[in-house]
Amino acid sequence: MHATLLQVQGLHKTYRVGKSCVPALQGVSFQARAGEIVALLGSNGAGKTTCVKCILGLVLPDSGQITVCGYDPIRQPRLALPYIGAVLEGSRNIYWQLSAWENLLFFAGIAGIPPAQARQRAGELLERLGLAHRAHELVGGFSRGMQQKVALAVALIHEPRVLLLDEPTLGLDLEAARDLRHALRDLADAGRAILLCTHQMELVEQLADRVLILHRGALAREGSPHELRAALGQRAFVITAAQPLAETLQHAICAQLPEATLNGRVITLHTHDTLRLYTLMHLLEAERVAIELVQTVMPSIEEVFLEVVRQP
Amino acid sequence: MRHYWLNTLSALAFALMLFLMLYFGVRAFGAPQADFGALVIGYYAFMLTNVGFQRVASFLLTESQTGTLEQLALSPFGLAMTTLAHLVSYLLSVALFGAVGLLATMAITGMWLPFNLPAFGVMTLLLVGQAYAFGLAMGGLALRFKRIGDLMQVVSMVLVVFLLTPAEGVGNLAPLGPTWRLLQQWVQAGALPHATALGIEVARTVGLLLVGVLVYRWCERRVRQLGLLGRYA
Repeated sequence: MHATLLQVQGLHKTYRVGKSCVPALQGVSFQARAGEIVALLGSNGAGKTTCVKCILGLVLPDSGQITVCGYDPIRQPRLALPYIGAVLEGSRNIYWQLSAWENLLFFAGIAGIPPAQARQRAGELLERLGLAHRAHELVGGFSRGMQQKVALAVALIHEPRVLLLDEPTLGLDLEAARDLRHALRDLADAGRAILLCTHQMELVEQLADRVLILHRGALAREGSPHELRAALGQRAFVITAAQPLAETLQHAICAQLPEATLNGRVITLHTHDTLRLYTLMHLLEAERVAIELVQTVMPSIEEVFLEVVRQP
Repeated sequence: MRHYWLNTLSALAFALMLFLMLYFGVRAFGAPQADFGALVIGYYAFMLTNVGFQRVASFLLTESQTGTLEQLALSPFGLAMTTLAHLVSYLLSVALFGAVGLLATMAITGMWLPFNLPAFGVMTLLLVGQAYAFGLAMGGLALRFKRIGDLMQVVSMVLVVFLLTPAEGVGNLAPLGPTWRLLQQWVQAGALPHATALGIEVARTVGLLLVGVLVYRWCERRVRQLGLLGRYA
């Protein structure tokens, strides 16, 4: 069992907006272990950014407990913050009027890293992220993808154990997003815990070991992508016949199985009821149609997410 | 400085021009060399004091506008210490530019001023420390309210009033004024301040700094409670 690096327990936060109170977090609890990428999903205003900022101590929660590698970032920032790195959404995270090299040395300095170690670490990170050839150019002239890589390097300069990323692939092209995905996977495999806030379901499907879905400030779903999909239930059967279907057979299928859709030799049965599958099998067997392949279709993470957020 | 070398050169040129203007201004009035020396020291101290007051709030506001304030707040040393480190480095750069400008002026004019650096350093440090106390409080308010430019101007005026407050009765309790007069006495009489007088100014500076720190920390905590740290100005 991998060590728990991040633990959040009973987190509550309410904002005052004028005379009204807006609950941003309502008793959120979760943890992230070493080697794990945890995706935090939620609609706009669900509380993702508030949750991340509470972990970083940038927002003070009303109640709850947070520990990072055993330390409380609210009450023990000097002990906890060296273990956390963050790339925040919306903010630039880095100085555009400095070079990538200077950004890394600056943030290493305010993290308390000795200069010699900072220089070595900066060189390694720039090399690893493919930025070494432009290390001394001003970041303001970089593409969005390169700027995000510099921001990631800054978040890693003090070798944190926990990485918090708020929409890291926002605005990135396909290649840059792919590079970042690979980098995140490598970082997790090296023993870090990564909490990833994102709206991009593809990223979640490709990267996340566990998914947390926030809805109106509360944790509505938690589990691996497979567990969440399985919990929602199977969506459909896809049967591929070995030969084209006769017209009479097609009519019979449509009449007895209105939930079926036909596309050449492929029949999609939009149900999880196996009795309906047996009905289709009987129809095919009666016409001596061989079956080439039977597949089950599980819901996507996007469908799981939409199921949650559409609840009243 | 390296990336924006034109701005750096301009800052050096400005410092040189400023001291040359002071020099020729004093000569135009037919005043003795000592007056130029007093003017230079007084101006230098006032400039650094003003930086000590203005820089904290302007730094926090700039960081807030560029979006890097939250990253600075993730330093294990805390936002206040990061701000102090910035202020120290900025003061050193201002002092350095001023020193280069002054040296260049003295070289150009041939008028070399005697300069007791340790005494000047101690008294300027006390002035800057007291101004920094106000700057810290303003910095806290800047975090909370984001736009406080006009308030800064009001407080600047108040600080000038403190500087000019006569040394009578309650005037001795005012910040900045007594320390400023100590500096003037040193410049005019050439004698270093008495240890007791210096001790009182040190206590005044420490007391004001404590108040400034308390105000700043209260403001920063309030800003984190409200979730406003990352809000752009």
